[in-house]
Amino acid sequence: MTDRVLGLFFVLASVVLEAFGNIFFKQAAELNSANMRPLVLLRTVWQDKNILAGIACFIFEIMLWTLALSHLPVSIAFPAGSMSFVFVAVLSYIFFREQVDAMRWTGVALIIGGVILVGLK
Amino acid sequence: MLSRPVIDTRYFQQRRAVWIGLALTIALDTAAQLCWKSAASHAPESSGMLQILAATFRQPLFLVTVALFICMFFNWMAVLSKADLSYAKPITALSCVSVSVVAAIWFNEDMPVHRMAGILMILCGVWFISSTRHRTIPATARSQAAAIPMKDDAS
Repeated sequence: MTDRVLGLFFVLASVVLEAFGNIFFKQAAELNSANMRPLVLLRTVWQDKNILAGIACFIFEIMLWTLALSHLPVSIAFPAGSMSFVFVAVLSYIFFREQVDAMRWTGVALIIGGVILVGLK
Repeated sequence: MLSRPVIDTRYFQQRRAVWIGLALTIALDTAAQLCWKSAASHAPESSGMLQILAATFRQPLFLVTVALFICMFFNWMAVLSKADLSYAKPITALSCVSVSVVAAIWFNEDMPVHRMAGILMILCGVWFISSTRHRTIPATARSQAAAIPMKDDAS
Protein backbone atom coordinates (compact mmCIF):
# COMPACT_ATOMS: atom_id res chain seq x y z
CA MET A 1 0.00 0.00 0.00
CA THR A 2 2.69 2.51 0.98
CA ASP A 3 4.54 1.43 -2.14
CA ARG A 4 1.52 2.42 -4.21
CA VAL A 5 1.11 5.79 -2.44
CA LEU A 6 4.79 6.53 -2.99
CA GLY A 7 4.43 5.54 -6.66
CA LEU A 8 1.44 7.84 -7.11
CA PHE A 9 3.38 10.64 -5.45
CA PHE A 10 6.14 10.17 -8.03
CA VAL A 11 3.55 10.19 -10.82
CA LEU A 12 2.03 13.41 -9.47
CA ALA A 13 5.46 15.05 -9.23
CA SER A 14 6.41 14.04 -12.77
CA VAL A 15 3.05 15.21 -14.12
CA VAL A 16 3.52 18.64 -12.52
CA LEU A 17 7.07 18.83 -13.92
CA GLU A 18 5.79 17.87 -17.37
CA ALA A 19 3.26 20.71 -17.23
CA PHE A 20 5.81 23.27 -16.02
CA GLY A 21 8.35 22.11 -18.61
CA ASN A 22 5.78 22.86 -21.28
CA ILE A 23 4.96 26.22 -19.68
CA PHE A 24 8.66 27.17 -19.87
CA PHE A 25 8.80 26.07 -23.54
CA LYS A 26 5.65 28.01 -24.33
CA GLN A 27 7.05 31.09 -22.57
CA ALA A 28 10.20 30.85 -24.72
CA ALA A 29 8.07 30.49 -27.85
CA GLU A 30 5.90 33.46 -26.88
CA LEU A 31 8.81 35.78 -26.09
CA ASN A 32 10.74 34.90 -29.22
CA SER A 33 8.31 33.40 -31.70
CA ALA A 34 10.26 34.55 -34.75
CA ASN A 35 13.28 32.47 -33.72
CA MET A 36 11.54 29.14 -33.25
CA ARG A 37 12.40 27.77 -36.68
CA PRO A 38 14.61 24.69 -36.14
CA LEU A 39 17.72 26.01 -37.90
CA VAL A 40 17.64 29.32 -36.02
CA LEU A 41 16.84 27.66 -32.72
CA LEU A 42 19.74 25.24 -33.13
CA ARG A 43 22.12 28.18 -32.65
CA THR A 44 20.26 30.09 -29.95
CA VAL A 45 18.86 27.29 -27.81
CA TRP A 46 21.68 27.43 -25.22
CA GLN A 47 21.12 31.13 -24.54
CA ASP A 48 17.43 30.83 -23.76
CA LYS A 49 16.86 30.50 -20.00
CA ASN A 50 13.25 29.41 -20.41
CA ILE A 51 14.19 26.58 -22.75
CA LEU A 52 16.99 25.44 -20.43
CA ALA A 53 14.53 25.48 -17.50
CA GLY A 54 12.08 23.44 -19.58
CA ILE A 55 14.77 20.89 -20.50
CA ALA A 56 15.75 20.63 -16.81
CA CYS A 57 12.11 19.92 -15.94
CA PHE A 58 11.98 17.12 -18.49
CA ILE A 59 15.24 15.54 -17.28
CA PHE A 60 13.92 15.48 -13.69
CA GLU A 61 10.63 14.19 -15.00
CA ILE A 62 12.30 11.20 -16.66
CA MET A 63 14.00 10.32 -13.35
CA LEU A 64 10.78 10.65 -11.35
CA TRP A 65 8.84 8.71 -13.96
CA THR A 66 11.37 5.88 -13.81
CA LEU A 67 10.96 5.84 -10.01
CA ALA A 68 7.18 5.84 -10.39
CA LEU A 69 7.35 2.85 -12.72
CA SER A 70 9.46 0.93 -10.23
CA HIS A 71 6.70 1.34 -7.60
CA LEU A 72 3.59 1.01 -9.77
CA PRO A 73 2.33 -1.26 -12.54
CA VAL A 74 2.26 0.49 -15.94
CA SER A 75 -1.50 -0.05 -16.10
CA ILE A 76 -1.86 2.39 -13.19
CA ALA A 77 1.05 4.76 -13.85
CA PHE A 78 0.19 5.39 -17.50
CA PRO A 79 -3.47 6.45 -16.96
CA ALA A 80 -2.48 8.47 -13.87
CA GLY A 81 0.06 10.26 -16.06
CA SER A 82 -2.75 11.60 -18.25
CA MET A 83 -3.48 14.08 -15.43
CA SER A 84 -0.79 16.21 -17.11
CA PHE A 85 -3.48 17.40 -19.56
CA VAL A 86 -5.44 18.96 -16.68
CA PHE A 87 -2.37 20.73 -15.29
CA VAL A 88 -1.42 21.98 -18.77
CA ALA A 89 -4.93 23.38 -19.34
CA VAL A 90 -5.07 25.12 -15.94
CA LEU A 91 -1.53 26.52 -16.16
CA SER A 92 -2.07 27.69 -19.77
CA TYR A 93 -5.00 29.72 -18.50
CA ILE A 94 -3.16 31.10 -15.47
CA PHE A 95 0.10 32.04 -17.21
CA PHE A 96 -0.97 32.85 -20.78
CA ARG A 97 -4.70 33.60 -20.43
CA GLU A 98 -5.42 31.06 -23.14
CA GLN A 99 -9.13 30.60 -23.79
CA VAL A 100 -9.74 27.22 -22.18
CA ASP A 101 -13.47 27.11 -22.88
CA ALA A 102 -16.10 24.37 -22.51
CA MET A 103 -15.09 22.82 -25.86
CA ARG A 104 -11.48 22.44 -24.77
CA TRP A 105 -12.42 21.08 -21.33
CA THR A 106 -14.76 18.55 -22.95
CA GLY A 107 -11.94 17.49 -25.26
CA VAL A 108 -9.49 17.20 -22.35
CA ALA A 109 -12.01 15.13 -20.33
CA LEU A 110 -12.65 12.76 -23.25
CA ILE A 111 -8.92 12.37 -23.89
CA ILE A 112 -8.23 11.57 -20.22
CA GLY A 113 -11.02 9.00 -20.22
CA GLY A 114 -9.64 7.53 -23.43
CA VAL A 115 -6.06 7.36 -22.15
CA ILE A 116 -7.28 5.59 -18.99
CA LEU A 117 -9.13 3.01 -21.08
CA VAL A 118 -6.17 2.51 -23.47
CA GLY A 119 -3.77 2.06 -20.53
CA LEU A 120 -5.87 -0.47 -18.61
CA LYS A 121 -4.70 -4.06 -18.73
CA MET B 1 -17.58 48.27 -42.44
CA LEU B 2 -20.71 46.64 -43.72
CA SER B 3 -18.88 44.10 -45.85
CA ARG B 4 -19.00 40.41 -45.07
CA PRO B 5 -16.52 39.07 -42.51
CA VAL B 6 -13.04 38.81 -44.00
CA ILE B 7 -11.81 35.23 -44.09
CA ASP B 8 -8.19 35.59 -43.09
CA THR B 9 -6.18 33.19 -45.23
CA ARG B 10 -3.21 33.64 -42.90
CA TYR B 11 -5.24 32.12 -40.07
CA PHE B 12 -5.85 28.99 -42.14
CA GLN B 13 -2.26 28.83 -43.37
CA GLN B 14 -1.03 28.99 -39.79
CA ARG B 15 -3.58 26.40 -38.70
CA ARG B 16 -2.37 24.06 -41.46
CA ALA B 17 1.24 24.59 -40.36
CA VAL B 18 0.22 23.79 -36.77
CA TRP B 19 -1.42 20.54 -37.89
CA ILE B 20 1.60 19.52 -39.98
CA GLY B 21 3.73 20.10 -36.88
CA LEU B 22 1.31 18.10 -34.72
CA ALA B 23 1.30 15.22 -37.24
CA LEU B 24 5.11 15.23 -37.14
CA THR B 25 5.04 15.26 -33.31
CA ILE B 26 2.76 12.23 -33.24
CA ALA B 27 4.82 10.33 -35.85
CA LEU B 28 8.12 11.05 -34.05
CA ASP B 29 6.62 10.21 -30.64
CA THR B 30 5.28 6.90 -31.96
CA ALA B 31 8.65 5.97 -33.45
CA ALA B 32 10.49 7.05 -30.27
CA GLN B 33 8.24 5.05 -27.95
CA LEU B 34 8.51 1.90 -30.06
CA CYS B 35 12.33 2.25 -30.28
CA TRP B 36 12.49 2.83 -26.53
CA LYS B 37 10.38 -0.22 -25.85
CA SER B 38 12.54 -2.37 -28.15
CA ALA B 39 15.73 -1.07 -26.53
CA ALA B 40 14.39 -1.69 -23.01
CA SER B 41 13.29 -5.23 -23.82
CA HIS B 42 16.90 -6.32 -24.35
CA ALA B 43 17.56 -6.38 -20.61
CA PRO B 44 17.82 -9.91 -19.20
CA GLU B 45 14.77 -11.18 -17.30
CA SER B 46 14.55 -10.50 -13.56
CA SER B 47 17.43 -8.01 -13.51
CA GLY B 48 17.52 -5.01 -11.19
CA MET B 49 16.66 -1.41 -11.93
CA LEU B 50 20.23 -0.29 -12.69
CA GLN B 51 20.94 -3.32 -14.87
CA ILE B 52 17.83 -2.61 -16.93
CA LEU B 53 18.90 1.04 -17.36
CA ALA B 54 22.49 0.08 -18.24
CA ALA B 55 21.34 -2.55 -20.74
CA THR B 56 18.92 -0.07 -22.28
CA PHE B 57 21.51 2.71 -22.64
CA ARG B 58 23.90 0.37 -24.46
CA GLN B 59 21.38 -0.43 -27.18
CA PRO B 60 21.91 1.39 -30.51
CA LEU B 61 18.13 1.82 -30.63
CA PHE B 62 18.37 3.94 -27.50
CA LEU B 63 20.53 6.44 -29.42
CA VAL B 64 17.87 6.48 -32.12
CA THR B 65 15.31 7.21 -29.38
CA VAL B 66 17.37 10.16 -28.09
CA ALA B 67 17.80 11.50 -31.64
CA LEU B 68 14.04 11.27 -32.17
CA PHE B 69 13.39 13.16 -28.93
CA ILE B 70 15.77 15.95 -30.03
CA CYS B 71 13.92 16.25 -33.36
CA MET B 72 10.66 16.32 -31.42
CA PHE B 73 11.91 19.20 -29.29
CA PHE B 74 12.70 21.43 -32.28
CA ASN B 75 9.42 20.56 -33.95
CA TRP B 76 7.51 21.17 -30.69
CA MET B 77 9.01 24.66 -30.27
CA ALA B 78 7.88 25.52 -33.80
CA VAL B 79 4.36 24.31 -32.97
CA LEU B 80 4.26 26.30 -29.72
CA SER B 81 5.28 29.47 -31.54
CA LYS B 82 2.05 29.22 -33.55
CA ALA B 83 -0.51 27.51 -31.31
CA ASP B 84 -1.93 27.61 -27.77
CA LEU B 85 -0.34 25.13 -25.38
CA SER B 86 -3.83 24.09 -24.23
CA TYR B 87 -4.64 23.35 -27.89
CA ALA B 88 -1.47 21.55 -28.99
CA LYS B 89 -0.72 19.47 -25.89
CA PRO B 90 -3.95 17.43 -25.64
CA ILE B 91 -3.82 16.65 -29.37
CA THR B 92 -0.48 14.88 -28.85
CA ALA B 93 -2.51 12.21 -27.00
CA LEU B 94 -3.12 10.85 -30.51
CA SER B 95 0.25 9.13 -30.13
CA CYS B 96 -1.47 6.83 -27.59
CA VAL B 97 -3.71 5.78 -30.45
CA SER B 98 -0.91 5.29 -32.96
CA VAL B 99 1.35 3.46 -30.49
CA SER B 100 -1.35 0.97 -29.52
CA VAL B 101 -2.40 0.44 -33.14
CA VAL B 102 1.20 -0.06 -34.34
CA ALA B 103 1.93 -2.33 -31.35
CA ALA B 104 -1.12 -4.41 -32.21
CA ILE B 105 0.04 -4.79 -35.81
CA TRP B 106 3.82 -5.24 -35.35
CA PHE B 107 4.16 -6.85 -31.93
CA ASN B 108 0.88 -8.75 -32.19
CA GLU B 109 -0.31 -7.19 -28.94
CA ASP B 110 -4.01 -7.83 -28.58
CA MET B 111 -6.63 -5.11 -28.92
CA PRO B 112 -9.35 -5.63 -26.29
CA VAL B 113 -12.71 -3.87 -26.55
CA HIS B 114 -11.96 -1.34 -23.77
CA ARG B 115 -8.83 -0.24 -25.64
CA MET B 116 -10.82 0.33 -28.82
CA ALA B 117 -13.34 2.35 -26.78
CA GLY B 118 -10.46 4.39 -25.34
CA ILE B 119 -9.10 5.08 -28.83
CA LEU B 120 -12.54 6.25 -29.90
CA MET B 121 -12.77 8.57 -26.86
CA ILE B 122 -9.36 10.11 -27.59
CA LEU B 123 -10.38 10.71 -31.21
CA CYS B 124 -13.62 12.41 -30.03
CA GLY B 125 -11.66 14.55 -27.56
CA VAL B 126 -9.21 15.64 -30.25
CA TRP B 127 -12.14 16.49 -32.50
CA PHE B 128 -13.58 18.74 -29.77
CA ILE B 129 -10.27 20.55 -29.28
CA SER B 130 -9.65 20.88 -33.00
CA SER B 131 -12.96 22.74 -33.33
CA THR B 132 -11.61 25.57 -31.16
CA ARG B 133 -9.29 28.31 -32.45
CA HIS B 134 -5.68 27.15 -32.42
CA ARG B 135 -4.61 30.45 -30.95
CA THR B 136 -6.25 32.69 -28.37
CA ILE B 137 -6.86 36.22 -29.52
CA PRO B 138 -5.23 38.69 -27.08
CA ALA B 139 -7.83 40.39 -24.85
CA THR B 140 -7.08 43.79 -26.37
CA ALA B 141 -7.92 42.57 -29.87
CA ARG B 142 -10.90 40.48 -28.78
CA SER B 143 -13.56 43.18 -29.14
CA GLN B 144 -12.53 43.96 -32.71
CA ALA B 145 -12.24 40.27 -33.50
CA ALA B 146 -15.83 39.73 -32.39
CA ALA B 147 -16.90 41.96 -35.28
CA ILE B 148 -14.60 40.18 -37.76
CA PRO B 149 -14.91 36.50 -36.89
CA MET B 150 -11.98 34.96 -38.75
CA LYS B 151 -9.46 37.71 -38.12
CA ASP B 152 -6.43 36.38 -36.30
CA ASP B 153 -4.19 38.37 -33.99
CA ALA B 154 -1.40 40.29 -35.64
CA SER B 155 1.65 38.53 -34.23
